[in-house]
Amino acid sequence: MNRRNYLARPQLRDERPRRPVRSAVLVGTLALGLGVGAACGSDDPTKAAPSAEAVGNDGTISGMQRDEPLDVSAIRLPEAVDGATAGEFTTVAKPGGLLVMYFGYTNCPDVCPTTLAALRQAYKGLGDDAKRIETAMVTVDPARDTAEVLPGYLASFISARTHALIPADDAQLKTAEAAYLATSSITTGSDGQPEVAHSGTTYVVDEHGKVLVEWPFGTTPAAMRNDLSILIDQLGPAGGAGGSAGGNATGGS
Amino acid sequence: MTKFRTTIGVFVVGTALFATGCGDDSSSTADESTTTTAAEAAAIKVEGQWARTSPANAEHGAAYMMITATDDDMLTSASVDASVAAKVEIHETVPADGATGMTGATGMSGMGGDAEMTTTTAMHDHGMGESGATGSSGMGAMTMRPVDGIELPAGESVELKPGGYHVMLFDLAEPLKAGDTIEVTLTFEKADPMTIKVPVRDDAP
Repeated sequence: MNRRNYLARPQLRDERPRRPVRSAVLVGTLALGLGVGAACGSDDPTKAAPSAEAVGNDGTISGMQRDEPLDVSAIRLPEAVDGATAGEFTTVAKPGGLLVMYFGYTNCPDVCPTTLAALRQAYKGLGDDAKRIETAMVTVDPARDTAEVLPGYLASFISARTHALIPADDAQLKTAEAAYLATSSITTGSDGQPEVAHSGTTYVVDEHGKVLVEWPFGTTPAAMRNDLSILIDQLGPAGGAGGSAGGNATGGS
Repeated sequence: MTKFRTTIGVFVVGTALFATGCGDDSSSTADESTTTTAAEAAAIKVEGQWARTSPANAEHGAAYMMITATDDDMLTSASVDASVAAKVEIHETVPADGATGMTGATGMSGMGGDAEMTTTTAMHDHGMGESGATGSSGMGAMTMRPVDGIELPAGESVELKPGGYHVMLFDLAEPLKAGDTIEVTLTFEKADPMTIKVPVRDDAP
C-alpha cells in the first residue's frame, strides 16, 4: 500500500503499525556513535603510555615490595659485550643508581619483547634520571642466546647502560634464579623445538643488592615509570656516579 | 513530514558521532582503512592489528589484533607469505604448570590460577597483573602453547594482545621493521578467509 495514501487517511493513523525497525536503527546508530566515541577514548593498560611527557609520580609504589627484600648481592654472571664474554657482572646497581633485572630469552616472541618495550617506554619519561638506571637481561636459554645474540637483542630495546648476562652453565643460572625467586625451564616440544617457560618478573635492585621492587609481567610502562621516579627520589641527588664500584670489574657506562 | 526529517537528522547525528568518535586517535587511520574486505565486513571485523618490530637477532615475531564476529565463529588458523615467515601458529601465553624451585610462593594472583589451562575457551584476558602486583605475584612461570583456534562468540571483541593470544610468526625471512606492513590471512570456521594488513610498530597502537 502506498505510504502517502496511508497517512493521508487520518482514521487509520492510530491503527498503523508502529515502526520498531526505524526506532531501532536510530537508537542503534546513536548508541554506536556514542559507544565508539567512548571506546576510542578508553584506557587500555596494555597500550604504551605516551612517551613524550616526563611526569612526576603519585607517591605510591605500584609494584611489589617485600617486608624482607631479596638480597641478590652475591650473584655474579658472565657479561657478553660485542660477541664475546667480558668479565663478570655482579647484579647490583652503581652507587646512587638502580639496576633493572630481567630473566628472559631472545626466541620469546611475546612476553620478553613486551616487557623490554615497556621498560623502554618507562625510561623515556624519566628524562635525565634515566641515566641512573642500568638494565640487565639474564638469558634462561644460554644454549641459543650466545654472546653474538644477546647483547644486540637487548640493545634493540634499551640503547645504553645495558648488561647482557649469559650463565656459564645451568647451575649458575639456577643459583641466580634462586636468589631472585625466578624460575625457568626448557623442554623439547613435540615438534622438536625447545619450549621455554620462565617467570616474567622484572626486578629493581639497589647498589647494595637489595631488590626494591618487583614488577610482574604486564606491569604498564606508566607504573614502571612511576615506581622508578619514586625510587630515584629516594636515592637522593646523583653524586659520584660512574667508574667502577660495587665489585663490578667491567667499566664503562 | 517533520517526523521524517527528524529521523534523518538523528541518523545523521548518530553517524557523525560514529565517524568522529575516533578523532582523537591520530594513529587510528591505518586501522580504518586497512581492515576487512567489503564482502566479509558484516561477518568479521578486525581492528587494531599490529606486529612488533623485530629486536636484533630475533627469529620469531608476534602479531596482535582485536576480532569481532557477528555470528559465533572461531579463528582456526593464520598464514603469511613465505617471504615473511616460514610458519604461522596461533599461540597463547599461559602459566606453566609444575614450575619448580619456588620458595614461599603462593602463585601469581589475578592469574585465575589455572595451571591446567589448556586450549581456548574464549579467554580474553589472563589477568596478568596488569593493574599492579598484589601479594606474591611474579612467581609463576609462563610459557606459550599453540591453540587449535580462538573462539569468537557473536558480538564479542576478542583480543589478541601481549601476554595472551598472539599470532606467532616462526622463522622470519627478514626482521620486521617499524613502518613496514605485512599481510596476514586469517581463516575461520564459518566466515570466509580474510587477508589483513598488519603494520609493524615498536609498541601497541
